[in-house]
Amino acid sequence: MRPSTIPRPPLVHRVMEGAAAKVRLEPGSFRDRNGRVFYQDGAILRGLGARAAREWQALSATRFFHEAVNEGKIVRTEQAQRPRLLAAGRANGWALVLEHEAIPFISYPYEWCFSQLKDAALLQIDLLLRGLDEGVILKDASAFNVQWRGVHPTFIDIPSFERWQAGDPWVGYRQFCQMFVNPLLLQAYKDIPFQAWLRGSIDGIAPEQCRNLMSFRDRLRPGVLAHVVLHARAQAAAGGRGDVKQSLRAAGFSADLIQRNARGLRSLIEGLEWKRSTSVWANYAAQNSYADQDRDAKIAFVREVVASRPRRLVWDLGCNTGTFARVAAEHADQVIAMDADHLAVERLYRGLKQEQVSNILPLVVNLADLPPALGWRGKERKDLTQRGRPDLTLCLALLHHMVIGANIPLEEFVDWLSSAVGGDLVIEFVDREDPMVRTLLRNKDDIYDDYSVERFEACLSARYNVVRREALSSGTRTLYHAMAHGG
Amino acid sequence: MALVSSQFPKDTAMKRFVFFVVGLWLLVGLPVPAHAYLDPGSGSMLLQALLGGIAGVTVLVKLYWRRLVARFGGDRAGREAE
Repeated sequence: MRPSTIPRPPLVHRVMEGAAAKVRLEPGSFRDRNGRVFYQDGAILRGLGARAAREWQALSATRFFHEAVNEGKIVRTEQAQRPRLLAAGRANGWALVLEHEAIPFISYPYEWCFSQLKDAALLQIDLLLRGLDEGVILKDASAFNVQWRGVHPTFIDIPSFERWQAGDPWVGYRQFCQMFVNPLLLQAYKDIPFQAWLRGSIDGIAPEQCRNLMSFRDRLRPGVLAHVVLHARAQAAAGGRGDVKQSLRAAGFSADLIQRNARGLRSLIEGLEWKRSTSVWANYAAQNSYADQDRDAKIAFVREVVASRPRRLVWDLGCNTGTFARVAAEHADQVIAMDADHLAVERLYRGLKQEQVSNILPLVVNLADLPPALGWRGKERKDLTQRGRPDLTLCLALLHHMVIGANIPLEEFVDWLSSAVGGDLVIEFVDREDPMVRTLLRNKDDIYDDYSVERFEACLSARYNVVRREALSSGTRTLYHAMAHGG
Repeated sequence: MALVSSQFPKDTAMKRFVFFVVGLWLLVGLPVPAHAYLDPGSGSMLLQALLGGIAGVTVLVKLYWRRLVARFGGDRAGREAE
């Protein structure tokens, strides 16, 4: 699923019926043969085969489904009615076409913080339990099936719901452990960041791998023995031993067993905490005395720029505590607040949940190591800029960290902003006299000839119309509002 | 017993004991077949029965009993289950 207003991928499929109806298949939606997401006429659609269509009929007849849609826990979904959409469905051999509400910005589990992964896990368990009460099960448990509207998780993969066949186990249990339980346990018990691992492995962390990281003491902590150690062992012991599903059914496996396991998982996950309290960046604002001095002027500057025209999507790069993301959110539809520091994003997410700010999505993103396109054909998961470009980007107190901290050439960074990201820009230049820059340079060879205000302004004005420039009272920092050419 | 309390918050000591015994058997008692990697998920299905408490353990015992019967040339139903 993706928003309807972002650049389209190359045309991969074409349907002719009456007037040419162009159908773009979603390259990441192929694993389930019984349905596929496609895009047409700006709508996000899902074609269903005969079997999936029957499951949809059963699902849409349940009460919990409509309640969960109204609570925002499942993406709003209706049967497509427009003749052109139905024609496209028929031409592709689909029995039925569903139309989904757009998600403002697609994100992936390797960009979420601990509490986001936890809340996404609890959403899946909640839907599993509520579905089972009405005879419907979630057949898989991919973390990619959860997306966000601000800080609210929503489930998007409708064909994952199927009628539960008496005697069947929960087939998604292993996937649930790989994509949710094991990453959360590693973060909570071992302080191992799960993002790098989930980015490196699209199927998550296998019980066997997770087990190998757990010490004897860890095996005594909640959840480890059952869901990790025994899970790894049970897999080794049971694989290749005939039709386990059939055997379990014959032995009287019941829905009650799934519910008990799910409730156990829920209380396990609810109890998991990531207790880390300090990081380089999470305390940055508190320690940064310059923040106070220039803060009000920066807030006023950002507020004026954001409010000067309608903003659908704003990115706040290097958002830290989210001060400017919050200012932008006052006037923009959606703000994506990105920072490389997991703890900073964790704090921001928890804060936004408490404040009930619903249009800021915080994400863990390292700009010097951007989330790439991944998976089958390198198209299953999209890189950051393929998922919707912002019409305004905030880069406050960021540039010196990119250029001096991460060794990204200044011109390349500005070029990336203008060519890959696009849109308008609010950017801050912090000069070499600033204590933060001096700290960055303290133990480094100063190879950064490109880091000067003259060079920066030349790079900027070569790619943007700089419409406003404001020196801040600290005397070492300058703000710029740059507009895209032709913007 | 902290290791199982999160699983079965309201269970009795007896249930914990059964979990422990069956878990131990799974851990050390079963030989590992060569093709486990071709069949991911079957172990996860069996484990779910174990995590369902007493009722689940009953299911497991029944399942292995049927397989045992089938192996020694018992009833036809058992062989089909295998």
